[in-house]
Amino acid sequence: MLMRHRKMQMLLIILLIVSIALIGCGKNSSAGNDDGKAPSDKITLTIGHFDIDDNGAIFRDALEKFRKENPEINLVEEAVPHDPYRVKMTTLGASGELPDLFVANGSMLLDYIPKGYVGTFNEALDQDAEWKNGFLPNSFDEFTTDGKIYGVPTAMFSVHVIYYNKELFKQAGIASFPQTWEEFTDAILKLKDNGLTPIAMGNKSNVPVGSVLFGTLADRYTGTAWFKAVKEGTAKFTDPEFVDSLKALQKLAEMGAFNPDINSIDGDMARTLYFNKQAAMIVDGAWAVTNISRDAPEDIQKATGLAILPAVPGGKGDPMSVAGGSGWSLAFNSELTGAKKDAAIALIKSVSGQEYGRTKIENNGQPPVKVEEYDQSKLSPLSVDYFELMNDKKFSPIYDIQLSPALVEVIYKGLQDLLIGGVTPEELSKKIQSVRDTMK
Amino acid sequence: MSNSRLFKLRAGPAFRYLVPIFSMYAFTVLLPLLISIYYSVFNEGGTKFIGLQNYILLAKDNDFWFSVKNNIILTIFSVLGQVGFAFLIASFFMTKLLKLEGLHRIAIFLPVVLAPVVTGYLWSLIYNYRMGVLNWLLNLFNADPVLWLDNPNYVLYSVSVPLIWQYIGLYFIIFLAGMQNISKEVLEASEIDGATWFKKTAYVIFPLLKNVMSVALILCITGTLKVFDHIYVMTGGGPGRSSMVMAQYAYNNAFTMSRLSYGSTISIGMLILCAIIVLIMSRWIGGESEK
Repeated sequence: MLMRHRKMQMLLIILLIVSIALIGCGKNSSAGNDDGKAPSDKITLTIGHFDIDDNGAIFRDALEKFRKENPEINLVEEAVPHDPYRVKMTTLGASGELPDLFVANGSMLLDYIPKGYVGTFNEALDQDAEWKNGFLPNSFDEFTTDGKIYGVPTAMFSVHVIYYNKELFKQAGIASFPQTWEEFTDAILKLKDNGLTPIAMGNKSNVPVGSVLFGTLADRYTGTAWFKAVKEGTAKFTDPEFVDSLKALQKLAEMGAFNPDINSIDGDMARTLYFNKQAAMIVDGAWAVTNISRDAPEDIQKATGLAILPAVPGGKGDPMSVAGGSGWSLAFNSELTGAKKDAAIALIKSVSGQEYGRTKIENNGQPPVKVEEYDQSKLSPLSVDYFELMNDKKFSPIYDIQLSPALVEVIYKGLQDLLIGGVTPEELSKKIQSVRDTMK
Repeated sequence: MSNSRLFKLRAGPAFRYLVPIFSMYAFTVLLPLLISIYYSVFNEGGTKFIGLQNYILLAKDNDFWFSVKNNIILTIFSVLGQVGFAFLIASFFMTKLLKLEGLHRIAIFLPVVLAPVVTGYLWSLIYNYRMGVLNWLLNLFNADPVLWLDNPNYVLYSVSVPLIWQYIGLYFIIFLAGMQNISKEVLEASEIDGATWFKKTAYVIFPLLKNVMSVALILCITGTLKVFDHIYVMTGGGPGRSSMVMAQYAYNNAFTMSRLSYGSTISIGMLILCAIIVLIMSRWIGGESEK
């Protein structure tokens, strides 16, 4: 009797342990079942993306349309906002459990490619010349390694645009947007004397200043060739050109060009300063065209002009270039084969072709494809201005998209430190180079 | 003989009932720890065994030691602020002057039940440069607004305040429980002998609370050494690295810089440092109470 009692106890305990262990494995085993036992022909595709806000409505509509056209495909969206998406993807990348399809930038792909997680598009692109030739020149650059294409661009835009308030400029006695660096710094001082914040930015997450301002500023000094040399390891971050660009940013901060709380507010709060006429300029990516067209008060929309950083004295870079490019791409998991892979490619085609591009441009977006015919009247005036501004501009590299995540973090965190005077340009350049040296 | 048999009868089932909890502990604590150690001796991507190379890198990492320094400063503040204030408040509760005891107790304990993330957001609003309560108050006195979270010279002090504010209540409750355990006779005897409030607190209550105090100190030190949520929400270690703490540094390395094995190395380093500090502390406290 006693023995049986004990046995029951042991049985219960073992059951408990097993059930706990099974809970731990729950996710894995159910995912495995989907692959094997799914009812015949029904293909399940998971897609990870961050287009959940108003700007992403076009993408979601396109996915919905794809669902309707392909009822045999069960499309599962794993969508989270942008910032957590990047964290999530790094974590999934570390454990090798990426979704079937996902939105990835160049830096993420650099992380995944050596691990063999992403499939190549070369074959699919070669088979469909119309699709391939529809893209803008250089739009695949950031997703290509050794001639292999790992991602299809989702947009092509400049990450650096200066949005300035013409009215406030006039009140400060500045007739037009400055064309030289000296005029630019003069204008900043004049705006400051008028009690305005010259440039409002929100750098809490430490990406904005580095991405939308410093990338272009650095290119003015170093030129794009230097950047390529750094990537190959033949140039160094301690080179005088790069240090000069750090110094220029430091000088801007010292003369009070930015809002004093730049490092503790985010981009939305900075935009609000601009909307309230407390700030004369904001520096932001092309995506802010959509935001301003939608959210800004009418008088601000009318007063807003677009410009880019002027040339710097002694700079080696092309003053007509801005940091920009495709930025994000759609990539697929290298584990996909057969029908699943075909379905994935079909989906990617549906959100990167002509038709999708037209919808995007008519909603004030910046598609990666040459859109032949579109209804210009649907565009906001700011969008028209933007395409005009970009007409004669070239794209220079975006730091956070072309460099590896570790390097990006050290540069951008360092810039935050530089803005508050916590580090000198020389020290920072040495620190960045030391991280560069630890990589192969 | 019969005694030991009795013990066996009790211990056997007791241990067996503990098995589920132990296995849970193994899954949630021991296993991740072992996996971290495993990650930390491999290169990024986990393709090659590199031995202790990461640890050597860590020992030379200026940023890591900077965050250790920040952690230690925060710990000193927390010990003084959390444990010190809590003891003072608890000893006020032992006097008979206090009215509405229950209300005060709830008010002091309430922040403890808030999620750290909520506290962080709350205080980053209080600290806000343009619309924060603190700068509004300063404005009333015609003082210049202060960049509470932007100035590297005092950002660490700014972030330590919410940390102290949140956990005073916890130690307060611990002390209050301890003080209520002190027998009434001792306190009454000291009062009859003419001890003032200060003398009663310093020479009667404090020595009698030594054990409770050492528990509170250990809790406070370990809690502050692994602080993450508050810092993550308020500054993310910034501006630059001025409010970086060990846990945030490990997080940044593993999840934003995609250096998982180095991130694991940092957390193991953190574990070792915490263990050493706690060991020294408990020796020190234990040694004193033996005298």
